[in-house]
Amino acid sequence: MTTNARWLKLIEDGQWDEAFDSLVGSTQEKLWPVALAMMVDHASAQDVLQECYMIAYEALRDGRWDGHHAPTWLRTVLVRLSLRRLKRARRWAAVKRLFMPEEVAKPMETTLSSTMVTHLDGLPLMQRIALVLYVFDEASNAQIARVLGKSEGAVEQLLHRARKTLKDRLSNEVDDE
Amino acid sequence: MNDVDQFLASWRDEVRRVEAPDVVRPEPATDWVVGWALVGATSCTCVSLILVYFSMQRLQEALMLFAL
Repeated sequence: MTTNARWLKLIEDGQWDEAFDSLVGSTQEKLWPVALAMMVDHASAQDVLQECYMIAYEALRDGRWDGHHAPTWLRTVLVRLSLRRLKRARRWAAVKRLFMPEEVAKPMETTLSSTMVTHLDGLPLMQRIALVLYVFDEASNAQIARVLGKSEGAVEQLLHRARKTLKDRLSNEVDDE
Repeated sequence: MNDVDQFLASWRDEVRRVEAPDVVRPEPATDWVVGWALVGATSCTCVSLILVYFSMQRLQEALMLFAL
């Protein structure tokens, strides 16, 4: 029996805990880098991943999801959760910059180098997410378009712009040195 | 390899080096435990308020008698 068939059988039998463990075991390795690359901050990535699995668990139990196409389903939920959090974080950062500038200067809890964080933070959110899915999920333009709810042409534009923004930033960095 | 590809490659390496955290399995029992706890707490509050109300009435009556 394949992993997918076994997992669908567990759901059919109502063995939720086993189904949950099987879901985490088969998808976490691929989802974690996507979550971390999107959020950058280690704790936020962990929260987003946990919340994504909680939503999946509740959807399975309530019968809102039948367990099919698990990687795509989870990836879409993860992207939406991350996008919501990142938008909120950017709004909050703008408020903090006005009233508590010393708080903004605090470094993130991350293992990524600070220059990398600066470059990634400088990318507009949709560009960043499209780039993460392209680099870490090796997703095609059509798959990214489905997750983001955009056309394939729009995704191509996003990726092109993201690369251009990064190129400009990287060449500016070399000029500064 | 150009600068952007190099950046993306090192980004991929740095992220993939980080070990995935443990995911906690949700506890389905929590829902009804919290539900019953809320029902219990609400009932206790209502009973206490009723008792306080009647005690105050008795106290008022006692004070009236004392005053007379």
